[in-house]
Amino acid sequence: MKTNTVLLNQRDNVVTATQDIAAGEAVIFFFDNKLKSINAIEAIPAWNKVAIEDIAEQSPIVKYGEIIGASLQKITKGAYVSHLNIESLPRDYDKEMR
Amino acid sequence: MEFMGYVREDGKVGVRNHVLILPTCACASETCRIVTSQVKGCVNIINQVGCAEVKGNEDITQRVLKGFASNANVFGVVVIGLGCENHSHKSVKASIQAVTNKPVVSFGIQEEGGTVKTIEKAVKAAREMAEQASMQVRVSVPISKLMMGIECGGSDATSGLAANPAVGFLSDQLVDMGASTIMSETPEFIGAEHILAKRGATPAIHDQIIQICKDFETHLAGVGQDLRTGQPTPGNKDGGLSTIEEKSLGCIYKGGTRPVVEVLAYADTPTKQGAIIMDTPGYDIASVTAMIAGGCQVIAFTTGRGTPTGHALAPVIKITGNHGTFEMMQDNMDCDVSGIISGETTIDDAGKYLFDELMTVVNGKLTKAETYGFSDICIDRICRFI
Repeated sequence: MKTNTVLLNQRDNVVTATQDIAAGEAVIFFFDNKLKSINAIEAIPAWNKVAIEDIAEQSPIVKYGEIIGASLQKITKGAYVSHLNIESLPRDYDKEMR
Repeated sequence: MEFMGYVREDGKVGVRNHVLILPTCACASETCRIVTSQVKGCVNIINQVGCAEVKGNEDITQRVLKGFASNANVFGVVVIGLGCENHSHKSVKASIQAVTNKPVVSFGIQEEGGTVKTIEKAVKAAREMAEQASMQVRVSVPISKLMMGIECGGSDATSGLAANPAVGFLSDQLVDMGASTIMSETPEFIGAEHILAKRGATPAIHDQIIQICKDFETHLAGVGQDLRTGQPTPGNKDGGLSTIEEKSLGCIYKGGTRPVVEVLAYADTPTKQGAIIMDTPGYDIASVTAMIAGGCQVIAFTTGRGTPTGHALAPVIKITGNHGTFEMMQDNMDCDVSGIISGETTIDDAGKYLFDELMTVVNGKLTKAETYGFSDICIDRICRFI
């Protein structure tokens, strides 16, 4: 087994494809230094994201261990995560000030 | 560590030795282009602004023009104006001479009696300046005289995985050696500004980093606009960057990890040495313009999709972590660091390779964008022309 995706942080619920992945193909990545595999339920173009767990509607999408947006709909494990099913969230700058 | 540069009379050190033919306003840009085409050793920029602008825009334009003229890569300047614009050729010349003692001459098209007469005088002046420039030789100078701008454009998901971390390592190496780096593109901090702000050397700088992001969004909201309509771009999205947060989290890697010692306004000149942040748009051309006006002699430019951007005054080094893009766009790409993703190299080793390549370019090797003579510029605006 060889990886075709990369998990950037253990807290992430998405991985990034390092090559094109066909529907039904295994999505393979290192998790906690062990190879882990799930099934892609649809085609994922290289450098795009795959959900590695079921994500409910209006839930945080986490990559780099940080929130990169929220789901616009339920996203199933193995599905393609893109600008079509997630959206940016407003910032709270005043809270971030020291 | 040292590099071979051109020491200017004002003490700054260039990595190129251009004579700049500088239009004060759009009405002089074509004349400057023709003058440049007549004299070897000259470069011009196309200035699309410089008149019919409110004070806020006028200030930005003047900072950029003065910044370009005083950039250490410029030996001397031939300023050409029209005559009825916001700042005449004489006032632009005076503002340049207030910050540098390099050679500056200026002409006005209305005063000279039209295009042909202006070109005749300006070509003579440019030829003399180019001859003087040709006699200057490179000498060894400490790397603390170097300031590198850091840009990313046409990003995809490889940018945050490979090219940006490698350039971040490069930036840290430079800062540790006493050189300076500038990272810009405020909208591409948004979503990651809480992490970037932690690099602030003081609590005040921490808050300044947050503040420029807040101000950017407030400014756009003032005219009923939201940056999320244009960020990420369609190319970013195709390349796997779905939201501005995701793009920014990858973007900020390129600035490295050293403390941020200063936050600058658009095109402003640093007063400190080290890792610096400049408040610019995420639009690559407007951002590169500002960093070169701020004094950067060289730009490290990361890309995933591949871009051609070049600047008349400073070498722009294209670095990609996407091997497919490197292969597809060899005419535009300078460095391939995709080995970080395939596991053939580490971020540290790629950063060291980039340092060697940077030194080669600083010492005279032309980048791809330079060989084509690219001269992209864009001066940021705060509101409409008047």
